[in-house]
Amino acid sequence: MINYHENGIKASDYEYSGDREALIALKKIPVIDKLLSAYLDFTIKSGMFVQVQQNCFRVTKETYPRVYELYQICLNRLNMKQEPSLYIDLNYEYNAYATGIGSPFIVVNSSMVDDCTDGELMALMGHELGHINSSHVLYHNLARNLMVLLTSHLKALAPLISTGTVFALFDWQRKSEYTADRAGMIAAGGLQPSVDLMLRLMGKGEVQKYVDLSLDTAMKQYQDFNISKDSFIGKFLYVTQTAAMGHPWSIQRIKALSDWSKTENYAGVVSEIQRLESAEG
Amino acid sequence: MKVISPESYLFPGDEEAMEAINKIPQLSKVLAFISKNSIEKFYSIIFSSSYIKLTSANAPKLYHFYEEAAEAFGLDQLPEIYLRRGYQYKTDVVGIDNPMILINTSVLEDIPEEMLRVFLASDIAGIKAGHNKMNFIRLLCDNFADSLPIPKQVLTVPLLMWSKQKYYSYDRARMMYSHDKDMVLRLIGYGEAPPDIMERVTPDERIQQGMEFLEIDGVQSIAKSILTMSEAKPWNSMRVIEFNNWIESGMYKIGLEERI
Repeated sequence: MINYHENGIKASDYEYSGDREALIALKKIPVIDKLLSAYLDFTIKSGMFVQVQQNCFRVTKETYPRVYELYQICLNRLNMKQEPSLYIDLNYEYNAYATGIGSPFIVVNSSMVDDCTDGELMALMGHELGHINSSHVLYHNLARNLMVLLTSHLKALAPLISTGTVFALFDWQRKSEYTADRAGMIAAGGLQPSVDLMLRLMGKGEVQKYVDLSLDTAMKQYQDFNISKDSFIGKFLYVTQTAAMGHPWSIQRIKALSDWSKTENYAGVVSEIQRLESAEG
Repeated sequence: MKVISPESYLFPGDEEAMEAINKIPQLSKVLAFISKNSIEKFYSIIFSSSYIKLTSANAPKLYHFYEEAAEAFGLDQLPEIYLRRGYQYKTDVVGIDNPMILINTSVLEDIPEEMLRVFLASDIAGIKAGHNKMNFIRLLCDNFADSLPIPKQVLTVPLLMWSKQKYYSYDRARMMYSHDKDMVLRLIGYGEAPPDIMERVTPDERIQQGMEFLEIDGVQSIAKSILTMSEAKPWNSMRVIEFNNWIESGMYKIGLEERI
């Protein structure tokens, strides 16, 4: 059960700066909010949601007690107004996604539920809740639809403008992932589970027998990453590869989380959550 | 003890293909230059940003496996090693002068330790033998052969044939390294069935199955040739038979005697 607090934390308290600015600009475009959200809400409800309902198990207290319990903690820590439905998809790949506009829902692949620790799973579910909380879903879809439009029909009219707009949308999408990562960290209750989740997605898997991974080793690798893109060719490859990516590079996400964990902004969010949790006993 | 020389484990077709490439003047230098300034830089960014780099500090045992193999095969410098999430039992090697090894997580999760040591050693054997150059040529052909004024198949079919033969070399290298025929045979079949079932399949049964495959003739034999033509990896039964023939021919013993 969600305990929403009117004065509790809001998405704007932890949103990544570039993400927030871009979102404000997007929200100012007339018609988008109403027209596009109505259109997307209809298409997602009649297409994707029907498929998910047919093929995936919905998480409830009875079906997946462990996941349900962890999900409730995430919802409360992020002070969510509504509880998006959560589904588990039988799938080996490590993945999860949030979608839906009026009635958003989250799908987590079964391999993540099987393999992740409680903390990692909370970081994952918090990440997806972060996308919903910041209205990313609507604008991610807008970005995707605009990209198709710009790269097909409008490209012939104004190729430079189209290409520029597409890359700008990708740039915003990457920033929105940093916001969602922060939400994941808040939901998981600290930096370590979020880093562990990122390392798992990078390949940590179940190989602890051979590989000992930590934030320190990730930070050393971040230095290698910076060196690898330091040369002229490296910079060129980095920029061209990054420009069309919807997610930042994993090692950059770990670094961004680590940096944010040391800020006053993060400390303030944590203390607000702790205040409310202790008030509730 | 002498190092294991590539001559002792290279499959003849594999060795001939590499010799032919090496005879083309300046080609090796050109390929190394292109590789250094393209895929080696490209993959360096991708790998360091998205996969986990394994070092002697964070993966001492695994790193030691590679060090042991490098010593045995006489490879002076150990490549960079990365780990990625993947369910196929495989590793990939990219780059020519600065190769990088990419290991799938399932390799570490499922393959027993004593077998893993031998499984990984074939990466080092391949690098030492010069497979990197051939892999890079294949990569170039896969991506750019369409733009050449000759049919793509003129280049891709022989390279696919070579690619299949390099796996025969890997099996021989594993044997030269481990001296354990049963283990090499088990590694060939790894992934065909859950590990506990694979443990119960005897080497004789594997060879018998390979013999039955070999005996397929008539129309099926033509189909077999056509189906394998587009494969980059030989079918396991083909590997089992080729490997067994090599042992039975006495070539393994000759290679071993030359080494010691």
